[in-house]
Amino acid sequence: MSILELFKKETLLKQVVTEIDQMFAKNKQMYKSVIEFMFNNKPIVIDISKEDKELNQFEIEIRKKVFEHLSINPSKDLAFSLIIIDVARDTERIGDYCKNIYKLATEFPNVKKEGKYWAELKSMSDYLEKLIENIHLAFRDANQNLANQEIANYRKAIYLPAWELIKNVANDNSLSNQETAVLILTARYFRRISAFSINIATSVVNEFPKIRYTKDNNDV
Amino acid sequence: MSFNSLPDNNRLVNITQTVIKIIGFIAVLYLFLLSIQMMGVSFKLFGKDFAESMMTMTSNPFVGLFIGILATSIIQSSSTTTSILVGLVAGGVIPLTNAIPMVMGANIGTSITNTIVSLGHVTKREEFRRAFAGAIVHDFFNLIAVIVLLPLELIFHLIEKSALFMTTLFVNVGGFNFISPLKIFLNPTIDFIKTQVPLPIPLLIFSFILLFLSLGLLVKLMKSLIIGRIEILIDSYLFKNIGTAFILGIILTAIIQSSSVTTSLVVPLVGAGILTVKKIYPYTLGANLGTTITAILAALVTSEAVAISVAFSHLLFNIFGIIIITTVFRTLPITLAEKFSAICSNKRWLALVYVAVTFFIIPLILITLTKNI
Repeated sequence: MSILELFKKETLLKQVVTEIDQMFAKNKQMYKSVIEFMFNNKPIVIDISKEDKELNQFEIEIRKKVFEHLSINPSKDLAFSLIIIDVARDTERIGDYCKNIYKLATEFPNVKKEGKYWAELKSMSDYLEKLIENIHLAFRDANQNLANQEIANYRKAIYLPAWELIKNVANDNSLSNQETAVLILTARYFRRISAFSINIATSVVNEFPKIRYTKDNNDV
Repeated sequence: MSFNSLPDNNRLVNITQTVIKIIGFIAVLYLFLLSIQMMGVSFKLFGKDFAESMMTMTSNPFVGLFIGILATSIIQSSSTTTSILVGLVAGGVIPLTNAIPMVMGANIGTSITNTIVSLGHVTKREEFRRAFAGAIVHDFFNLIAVIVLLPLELIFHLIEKSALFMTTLFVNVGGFNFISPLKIFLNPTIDFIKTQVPLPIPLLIFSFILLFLSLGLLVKLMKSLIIGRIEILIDSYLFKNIGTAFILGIILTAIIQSSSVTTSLVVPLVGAGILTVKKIYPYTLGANLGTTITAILAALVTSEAVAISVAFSHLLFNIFGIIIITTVFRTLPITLAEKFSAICSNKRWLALVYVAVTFFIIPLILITLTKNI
């Protein structure tokens, strides 16, 4: 062990920041792959299950490092430490829902992705891809404008349309049970991914106690 | 909040703070060494009667042992106790033979701090079981070391003879020479203080106050200088293997100069289950060795061969303890700590009783009972 290591600038929180960045990158890659697979039947080159496990491992590692940091430096970067644990959990959950979408697509391959509902879902998925990218940028660069912009848009862009789609599908007797289940679950998963992304956006603009809430103290 | 919110952005402020702390460290180290010198001087001023009464009082090794435990448990710093012992021996107040059991007691007493830290986990049973075991493994190691080494010391003077041998080697290779330039800076101040405070009692009180303040500040300064940088070391080396954990314990404690601080740091990590008792055990042993640096530093400045023998006794007690316990008793301290902690996690009041009895009640009773023997 070199004594010089004591004077290196590396800290556990810096390592955590790098790991969060890798989690965001995994989210983007997983989401893109499963959407391409679901809507365009494009073969998946990554192992979704393995990627999801890696995200879990990242979250465990981040919690461990933040705990170590706070044990040794209790008052240093306290808010950042608590926030980063929330962000790690949200990015891990996005990975979970990507895996769920993938499972849905593989379990019900015969459901054709055609018609107005799938067109609506495709438009939502395009929006989500951009949202995931923008949330990463907003968090990385502390870009409050971008975070606020996404917080302002998400209800109109995905939250309400997805709920509207769920209601319409549930009342549409022309659909088979399988089609109904896959459409409703896909819409539900999209809503969850958007909610986790917006949670991260609130950590850019809100003070710690108000993370995951919009300005008027509503749930994301 | 974002990646950019992570501190470290104001480099100039950081560098300035570090420079101020380093200058502060040098100044406080000077005061610490001065206090040791002053203590030796004031003890010499007390005269023969004082020395004789102190010698009689500490001649019973068990009284010495329990004075060491009690004094260190109260001030929670074995560095302070051993530095005072260095001053006492350098001033000719107590002989080396009487000081060694006190050094052993100081080793036990210093383990109270991390045990108190572990009591903070008392509200969660499982967490407490782990944290308490992580803390008392230090106690059990020190208790076993004393149980084994004190009788050996009383019969064969194993530590005393080895320390004297080491001292001879140290003096022969000119060990005191490299500290000589420092005395050029210390002696004028000592001479000045002696002219201002010629009476032994005020001088002793002044030197005690200076010792407590300077050592406390020294630990605080080193902790603030180092602590932000050690989390990576703890993460990388404590998890790696026994050897690296042991070396990390030595180096960190030698720099911070307080095993109480370094052993207390890992208690919450054990409580959370991030580290196990087995993993931190070698680190704890390393901390026991690292903490001996303060007395060595204090002894060097006295330039008294017998004073350096006290510091070497502290070092040798820990070296012998580590060798004997790891080879003969192997994992006994870990087993005892885990079993006792399991009992205490079911009866948590027992943990408080353990602290009170081990560190205060037994030493007090035995000092009272044996002082006239």
